[in-house]
Amino acid sequence: MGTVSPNLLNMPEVVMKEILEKLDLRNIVTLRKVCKPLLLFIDSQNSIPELIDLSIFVNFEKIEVCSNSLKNQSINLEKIENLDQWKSAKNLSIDNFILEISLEKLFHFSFLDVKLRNVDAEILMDLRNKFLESTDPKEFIFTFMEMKNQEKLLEFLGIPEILKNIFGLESQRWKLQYPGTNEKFLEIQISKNYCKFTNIESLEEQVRRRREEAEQLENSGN
Amino acid sequence: MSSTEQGTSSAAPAEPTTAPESAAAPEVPESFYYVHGKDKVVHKVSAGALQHSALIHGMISNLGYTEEQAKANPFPFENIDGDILQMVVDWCNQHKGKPTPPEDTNLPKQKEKLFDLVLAVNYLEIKELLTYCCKQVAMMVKGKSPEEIREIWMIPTDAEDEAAEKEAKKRAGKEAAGETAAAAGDAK
Repeated sequence: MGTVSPNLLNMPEVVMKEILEKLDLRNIVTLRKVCKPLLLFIDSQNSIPELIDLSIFVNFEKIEVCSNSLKNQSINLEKIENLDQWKSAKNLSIDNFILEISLEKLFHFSFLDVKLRNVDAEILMDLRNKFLESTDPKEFIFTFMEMKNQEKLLEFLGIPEILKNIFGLESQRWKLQYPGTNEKFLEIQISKNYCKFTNIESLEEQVRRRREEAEQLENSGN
Repeated sequence: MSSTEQGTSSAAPAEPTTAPESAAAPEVPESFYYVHGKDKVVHKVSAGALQHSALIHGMISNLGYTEEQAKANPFPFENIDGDILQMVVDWCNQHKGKPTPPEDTNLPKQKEKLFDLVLAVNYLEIKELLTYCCKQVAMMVKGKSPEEIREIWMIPTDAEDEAAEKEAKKRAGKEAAGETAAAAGDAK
């Protein structure tokens, strides 16, 4: 056996599989970049399906995960939750995957676009409080499969405005004013499987508000 | 190491020394078997220690050797270097009849030795030791860049690999052409 070159590529398949089991996602992604034979071997392993056709873009502020072929598979983020890039990133966008994670663990992001398996109305209230802590631009858009304690929403947020989209789908909207400001609002919109929290005023809202302000000014002038 | 004979370099092993027994040694005398690697140094190992190796355990079960027969017929592992087999025997002795700890810090740090140990342990089917070795290899990969991994594990880049393959094909082509020319010359 001493005659075999100590090259990782010369490891038996069963050994390579066991080595891969002991590496986290980040290290496996690095290992894929070492050479083509390693990339092909790693991609052939069914035990790590999240690597097949999975693109992860990470830069200083943004994490994007997407796939062209995988749809609605669960993705467990435990292995990357502790990475510095995760903690310091501002934007998280995960397409096609259902996140097995509590919404609380995503509060530090400023912009979020994900699918969650479960949300809890009580956690949504924590999210409301988190939004109201700062007027920095922040927007969370997420779909969910199930909402716990949904009946408590009215108790927490009051009577909503009911909106209807062009397909007739109803959603509830709340507009909460930021303490100490006149113009800054937190808008919460919740429908059957969709939720949006934003403090960024839409262009449509801006136009409406400015028109109202102009009308008020005109009336007061008269 | 306690039950290992060193320096016995013949196919017929010298009289083995008796392995020290623990205070809780069983009343029935333990059976011993003999293994040697590429260097022909024979190691005397108890059946209890060898149970870690599924390969050797299977061989023992199938052969049904008596003590005498076992002594006269050491299991030959010509594909394993002597020092590596020594490491394996030591590990089996140290962990005889004991639950294996979650960590093993006594594994070689040099990649050449670790690599040979992995191949040997995989061949001998010692599951727990293989797990430790794989963990050690994984530790040598963790946090490294692709370039560092290539350097540590002597992996050529794809470009180098392609160039080497082309060169090998070219050489093989030349050799084949040379042989054809020589054969044609002989025919004349």
